[in-house]
Amino acid sequence: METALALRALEKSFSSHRVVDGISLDVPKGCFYSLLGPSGCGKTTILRMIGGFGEPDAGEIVLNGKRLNGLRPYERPVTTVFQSYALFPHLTAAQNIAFGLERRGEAPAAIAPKVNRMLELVGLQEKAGRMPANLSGGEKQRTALARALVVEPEMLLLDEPLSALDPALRKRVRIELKQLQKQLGITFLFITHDQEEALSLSDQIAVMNKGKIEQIGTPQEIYLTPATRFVAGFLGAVNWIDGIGVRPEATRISRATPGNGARTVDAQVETSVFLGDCFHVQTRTSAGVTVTAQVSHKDEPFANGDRVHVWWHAADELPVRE
Amino acid sequence: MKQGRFLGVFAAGVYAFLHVPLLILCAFSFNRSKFTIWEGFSLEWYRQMFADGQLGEAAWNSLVIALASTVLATAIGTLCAYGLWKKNSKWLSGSLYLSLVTPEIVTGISLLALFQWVFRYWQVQLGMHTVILAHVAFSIAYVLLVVMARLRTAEPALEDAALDLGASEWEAFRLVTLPILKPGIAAAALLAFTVSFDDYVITSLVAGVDSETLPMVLYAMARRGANPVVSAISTVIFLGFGALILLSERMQKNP
Ligand SMILES: Nc1ncnc2c1ncn2[C@@H]1O[C@H](COP(=O)(O)OP(=O)(O)OP(=O)(O)O)[C@@H](O)[C@H]1O
Ligand SMILES: [Mg+2]
Repeated sequence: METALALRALEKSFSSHRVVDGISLDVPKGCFYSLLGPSGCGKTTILRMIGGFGEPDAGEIVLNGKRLNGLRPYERPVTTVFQSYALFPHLTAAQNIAFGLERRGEAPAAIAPKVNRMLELVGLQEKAGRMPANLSGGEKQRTALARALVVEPEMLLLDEPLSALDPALRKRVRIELKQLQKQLGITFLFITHDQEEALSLSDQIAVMNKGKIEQIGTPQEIYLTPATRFVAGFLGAVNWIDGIGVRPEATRISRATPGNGARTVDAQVETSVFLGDCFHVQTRTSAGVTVTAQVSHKDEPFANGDRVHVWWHAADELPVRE
Repeated sequence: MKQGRFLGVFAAGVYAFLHVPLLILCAFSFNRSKFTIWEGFSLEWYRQMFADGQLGEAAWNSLVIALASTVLATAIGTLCAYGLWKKNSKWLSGSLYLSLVTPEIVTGISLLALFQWVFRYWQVQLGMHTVILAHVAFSIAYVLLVVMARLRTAEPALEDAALDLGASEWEAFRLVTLPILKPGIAAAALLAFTVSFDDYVITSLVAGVDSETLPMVLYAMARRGANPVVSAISTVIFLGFGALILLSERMQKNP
């Protein structure tokens, strides 16, 4: 697959604190690519360097074969959806969307239809004349998205664009965002610290920690075959039993001794938590390790203090390196 | 109940202390008598005020000086505030605020010293231009204070967004930051105009023979003895500024 964006050994320090520490990655054309990592790991710093807001101390940024280092933000064919949306408060939604086209010197006659098509695409026709202060959170987010997309960038940078929305809205907007990206075929570089968001949206994910990349892969790859303990733990709950990682949904418990081929540990039930679609049963092994198993409603109920066997299939063990 | 009544009396006292002098001033400007005994309503002092050529010239000087220094100080102060906001330097902003806490008499004497030193090499004299320069010098800090307060509420990402969408740095300032700052700049200009029109100490030090301002003439008249014309002018100035401030509040509410 053709590469849209290539980062090569990117480095950036703020007052001797190395915030971005040798980042290299390739974003394929038309890909929904996520940078996933905890707060403060350097995601925004990377995005700002691509957009032209802060030069890297070392390394290269190449977009479709063109080196971006040293170019001013307005010379770079990328646009950004900022975390706070940064809508211009003195302009209407439509004027916000027209801003980039006007800066490119397009004729007013050409701008109006493009703005209208964008408003339609994000479903904001009725809100075209509203000021940002009079838009809801979701409408602001869509205005910011439309404003960045209307200039047809070679790549769209999104800095946690859903984090300011309430949880119910976030899930709906997530689906819309993915559909929009598919429909337009624009390369998205999406930043998030929410693993569920990254897993559900992305074609590829780069998991970051402390300014370095821990693993790059498809959502399935990084969830099912995490390369490091950090990735395993960041993408979901893990039971660590003698250095072996098993996810709760792959962990079983039973009173009877499990059959051949299963790895088994003896344990005692501590608590059982009802989560709606399942139970999480927390047990303590004879070695004193806490192990959580996901149990369906249909399974036999467990009471606190029950002596049980905790078991799993060898194939479900997470293949972490360390 | 008892405490409530005491507070009411106290508040009335404070208000009276603040506003009764203005009321007395206003009332005696319409008094037929030259002295502080009420003898009946008259517009005589207002007639005299408008007939006085020296007063008219001083008022004109004050207006020209206030307008010129307001335009210059507002432009310079706004750009300074913008630069300081971008650079975010404690040192630089601190040194500019210094001029707010410098006693006026010190500012005035130091400006006079500067002008006299410069005049050794340049064949120029004290006059309107030196007064305007002096007023610009002390108004900038006021403009800075007001515009900075407005900038602190602005989101830094807005200019980034403008650049990101293809605006140059100048366009980002002109099309995004400046419109957002407009109410702050208007308030700053009003303040600069007020402090310039009002200034006596610094102005009297750096003014030349042709550049007497209204406060200077008023001061001289008042020193010569009770004069209802002074009350008349003061009333006009008070009402003029009151109207100006109401107007600017109006403008800020519906821009
Ligand atoms: N301009 C700056 N000056 C000094 N330190 C900075 C600057 N920008 C970022 N940092 C520091 O660099 C580190 C990484 O910041 P960054 O904003 O890239 O994190 P992030 O991964 O985007 O986090 P979040 O998920 O919270 O947005 C943080 O410790 C931050 O304090
Ligand atoms: Mg961030």
